[in-house]
Amino acid sequence: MLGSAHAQDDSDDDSPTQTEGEEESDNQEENPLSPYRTRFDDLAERTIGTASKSVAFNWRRTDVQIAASSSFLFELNNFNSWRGGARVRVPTEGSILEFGANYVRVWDSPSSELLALTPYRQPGRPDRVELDFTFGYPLAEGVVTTAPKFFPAVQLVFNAYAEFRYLVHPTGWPNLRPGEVVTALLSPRLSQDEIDNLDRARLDAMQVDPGRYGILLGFGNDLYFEQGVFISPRLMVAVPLLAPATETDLLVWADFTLAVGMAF
Amino acid sequence: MNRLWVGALLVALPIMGPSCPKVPIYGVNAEFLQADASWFAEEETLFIFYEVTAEQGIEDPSVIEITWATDDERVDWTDINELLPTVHTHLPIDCGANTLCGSTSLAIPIEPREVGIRLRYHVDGELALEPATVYNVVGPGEPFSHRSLVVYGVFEQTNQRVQWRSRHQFPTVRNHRAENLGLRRDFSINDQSYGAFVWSSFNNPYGYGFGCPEDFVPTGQTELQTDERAAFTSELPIEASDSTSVCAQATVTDAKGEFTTSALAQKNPEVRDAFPLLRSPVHPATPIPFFLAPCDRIINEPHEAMQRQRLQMEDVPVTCIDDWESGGFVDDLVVMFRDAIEAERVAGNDMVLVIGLHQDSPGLSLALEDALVQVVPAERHRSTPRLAGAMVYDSTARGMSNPALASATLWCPSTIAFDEIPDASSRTCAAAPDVPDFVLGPFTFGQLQILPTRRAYLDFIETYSNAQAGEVTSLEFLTPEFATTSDHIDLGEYGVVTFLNGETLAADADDAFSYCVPDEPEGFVFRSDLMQDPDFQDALREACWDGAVPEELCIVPDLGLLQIEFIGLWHSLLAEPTYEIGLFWEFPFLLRMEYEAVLAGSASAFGVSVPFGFASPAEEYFGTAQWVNDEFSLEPELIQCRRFCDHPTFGSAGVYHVTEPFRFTYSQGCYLPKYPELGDSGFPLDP
Repeated sequence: MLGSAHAQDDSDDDSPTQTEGEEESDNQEENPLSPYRTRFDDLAERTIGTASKSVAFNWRRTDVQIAASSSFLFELNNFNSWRGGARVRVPTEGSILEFGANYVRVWDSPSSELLALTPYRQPGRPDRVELDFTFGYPLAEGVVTTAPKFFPAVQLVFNAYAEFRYLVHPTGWPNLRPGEVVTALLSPRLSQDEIDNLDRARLDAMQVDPGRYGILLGFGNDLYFEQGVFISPRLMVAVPLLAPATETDLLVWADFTLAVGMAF
Repeated sequence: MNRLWVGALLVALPIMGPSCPKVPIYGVNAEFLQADASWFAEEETLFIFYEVTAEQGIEDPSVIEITWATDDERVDWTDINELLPTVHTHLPIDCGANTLCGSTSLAIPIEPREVGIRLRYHVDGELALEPATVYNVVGPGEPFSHRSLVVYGVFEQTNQRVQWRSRHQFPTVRNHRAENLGLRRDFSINDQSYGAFVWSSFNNPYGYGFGCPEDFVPTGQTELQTDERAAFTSELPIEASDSTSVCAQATVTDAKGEFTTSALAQKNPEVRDAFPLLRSPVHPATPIPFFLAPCDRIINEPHEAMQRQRLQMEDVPVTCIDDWESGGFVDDLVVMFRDAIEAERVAGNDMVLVIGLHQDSPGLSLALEDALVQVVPAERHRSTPRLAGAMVYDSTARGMSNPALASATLWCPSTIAFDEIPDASSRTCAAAPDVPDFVLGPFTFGQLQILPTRRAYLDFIETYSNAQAGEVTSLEFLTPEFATTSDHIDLGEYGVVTFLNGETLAADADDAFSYCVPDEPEGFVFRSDLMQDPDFQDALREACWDGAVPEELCIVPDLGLLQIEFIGLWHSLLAEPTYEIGLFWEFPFLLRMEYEAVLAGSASAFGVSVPFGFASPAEEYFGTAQWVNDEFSLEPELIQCRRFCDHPTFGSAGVYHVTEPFRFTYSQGCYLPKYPELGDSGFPLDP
C-alpha cells in the first residue's frame, strides 16, 4: 500500500526514508505470491520422471498407432522360430491396448535334424498365424536425450505388458466340417483331427504341441519421436497359467520383439 | 506403485525360475501290427503285408524296408518302394496319420531262407524297428489250396447271370485284409459252359481247378477281364435254365506268367413261397338275443336298461328266470336256445348266442352254464351255418366256472385267475379294478368300463350320471366260415386246429423248406398221411421214449399234426409228397364293439353337484383278434426250395456261404438271402 501510494503521488516526498533491509523486508511481507515461490531447479526435478504427463510427445493424445514387428522365439526346444507381423495400438485411459497378427516360421536346427533320425520327437509348433491381444501399462515415463547428438530428445515410456496369444493353424482344418472347425477354435487344445492334419506339415522331429493359446508377461520401452515415429522393443515370457487346460509341453519360453511404427 | 511392481517381480521370479525346464523329448512308440510274408512255390512270388503304427506320426521320412536271402542271392535292407517292378498291382493305402501300411509282391524263383521287414525311422538315419516277421512258405500243390488266388462264380437272384469273383488266399491274411492293404489281382474268364454237375468237396468248396466236365455246353459268351474282385458276365442262354452250374477257364497272373484252370459257378437254390396265402372268409354272425331277468320283481331298472343298451337289446322281451330253482329250468333254457338256433340256421349264416343276465341270485349263473354247456360246445365244430359260440353279459364279475364253456363262451365281466391259464373271457373282459376317482378341488373325474358290473355302474352314476356312463353304438360278432370239408382237432383248453378246406402243398422228395418266425405268428400247422397212420404213430412214440428222434416231433403221435416251423425237419427226414395246412385258433368269434367312451366329471359346490363329460368314440375287441382278417399269409415265412437245394447260399448280409447248402442249413432256419446285383461294386463282402 505504501508502495502504491508512493507511485501515485510522487510530489509527496515528506515521509521519512527507510533502510534497504527494511524495504526488502516490507516487500516480502506484502507480496501475495511469495508463499508459492519455488526455485527453478526444484521445479524441473519435480516435472521430469512423472508418468502421468508427457513432455516431448504426448502419446496419450494419439488416436491409433500402427507398427510392424519382428520377433525371435526362445521356445527351449531344438527348433528355430521367427515371427513377423503387424499390430495396432490404441491408447486408452492412460494405458495402451494392442491387437496384433503375426506369421511364425519354424525351421530345423542341426540338433532337430539329428533328432529326426531317431525314434524320438520333441514338442514344437509348426508354421502358424498368431493373434495377440496385449495390455500395456506405463510404469515410468520421461524425456530422454539420445546418441548421436543430432537426434532430438524422445519420449521414453517403460511399460509392463500382459498378453493373450492365440495360435491359428489353418493347415489343421482340411477335411473338417465348418461346425468342427468352430468347435475346435473354441477348445483350449488342438483336436485330434487337427493334430492328424498337422502331422503331415510338421518338421520331422517335431511332436505337434496341442496348446492353442497362452499368457505372456513382460516389459518393454516405447521411444516416441516428436513426429510420432516410435520404436518399441520388448521381452515377453510365457507363463504356464493355462497349461492344465491347453496341455502344452512348452511351459515357459520367451519372445523378444522389436516393433517400429507410427502414431496418428 | 513402483514398489508394488518390484515386489511382485521379486515374488514371481523365484516361482518361475524352477519352472523353466527344457522341452522334453518323447519316444514315438512305434510297433508293427502286421509284418507278414508268404512265398508261394507255384507262383514263385513273395507277398509282403505290413502295418506299423506309432503314437506320433510316422510319415514320409519313415520307410519300410525288406530283406531276404535265398540260395542264389541276398538282398540287404531295401526300401520297399524301390523293389520294382512288383508282380501284382499294389495301391498306396492311407491308414491314417499315425500308421503306415501296405503290401508288395516280388518275383523270387527260389524259396527264401529268411525274410525280414523293418521300419527305418528316417530315410537318412540308421535307427530302425525290426519286428518278428511272420513268414510262411506254401509249397507246390493243388490250385485250390496252394495258390494265393482262387476264382469262383456266383449267380444273381434269377440264376441267369454269373458274377465271377476272385478271393485272396494267404496263410495269415484274410481276403478283405489283403484288399485293404492295397493288393489288386487281375483275372479273366473264358470258355464258359453250362451243364448238370453236382459239386461237393470239403477241401475245395469253390470247385477251383477241378476241370470242367466234357459234356458241358459252351455258352458262347465273350471273355471277361477285370482287376476288381468281382464282375458280371452277360445273361446265359435260355437253354441253361435247367443246368446246375456254369464252368469256365479262369486265368490269373503270377511271377511265372499266366496260370489258367477251371472255375465253377453253382446256381442259387431255386426257392418260392411254399403256400403264400390261406383264406378263411370271416363274416359277421347273426346274434340270437336272450335277456334273462326276473319277471315278478325289479332288481334295478337303470342297470337293466344299461345292460340292454350294451347288448343292443332294447326291444328284446324278457325271458323270465323267477323259477330258476325249479327242476326243469335248465332243460327249458336248452330247448329255448336250440329252437332259436334252428330257426335262425335256415338263413345260412353263423350265429352267436347273446345273453343278457340280469340277476341277483348266485346260483342262477350256474344254471345258465349248465344250459349253455349242452348247446354251445357241440356246435362249434360244425360247418357253416353253425352256432359259433355264446356271449353272456352278467350282472356281477363272477365269471365262468365250467371249463367246458371257456373255449366257446365269452362271459363278461370276468375275473383273472392267477393260478391258471386265463381264457378268452378273462383276457378280454376282465372287470377293471376299482380305481379311485381323480379329485381336483371341487372337481371329480372318473371313467366307467363299457361292460361294468352292477355295483360299479350304480356307484358311477351316483357320483356322475347315466349320461356319462358311455354308450354302445354297434356290436359285431365276426366268425370264420367253416367249409363242409373242414376238419377240427380239439386241443382242449388251448384251442382248436382246423384244416379249413383241404389246403395242401406238394413237395418233391429232394425239395427243402425254410421257415422264418414272423413278427405276429398266425398259428399254422401241418399234417401228412404218415402222421395219421396208427402204426407210424406207435413207432414214433416209441422212438420218442428212446430219445431217437428230435423232441419237437413227439407231439405227432398224440395230435397227428405239427407246427409249421418243423415242416423242413419233417420233410428232410421223411420226404412226404403232400402236406395239409391248418390253422390254430383259440376262440371261435371276435366281438367288435364300438362305443362312446366318456371321461366323466363332476363339479361340487355348496352341496350341489353338476355332472359333465367329454365323450370320444372308442372301439374294443373281445374274444380273439385272429378273426379281424380273413387272409392268413405264410409269405415269406415258409419258403420251399424246388431246385438246387444242395447248392451254397447267400446270407442276409450278402455273404456267399459256400459251405452252407440250403437243405441242411435252413431246414430249421430262416432263409433271407441278399443276392449280388448288377451295379454292385466290384468288391463284394466275402470274408
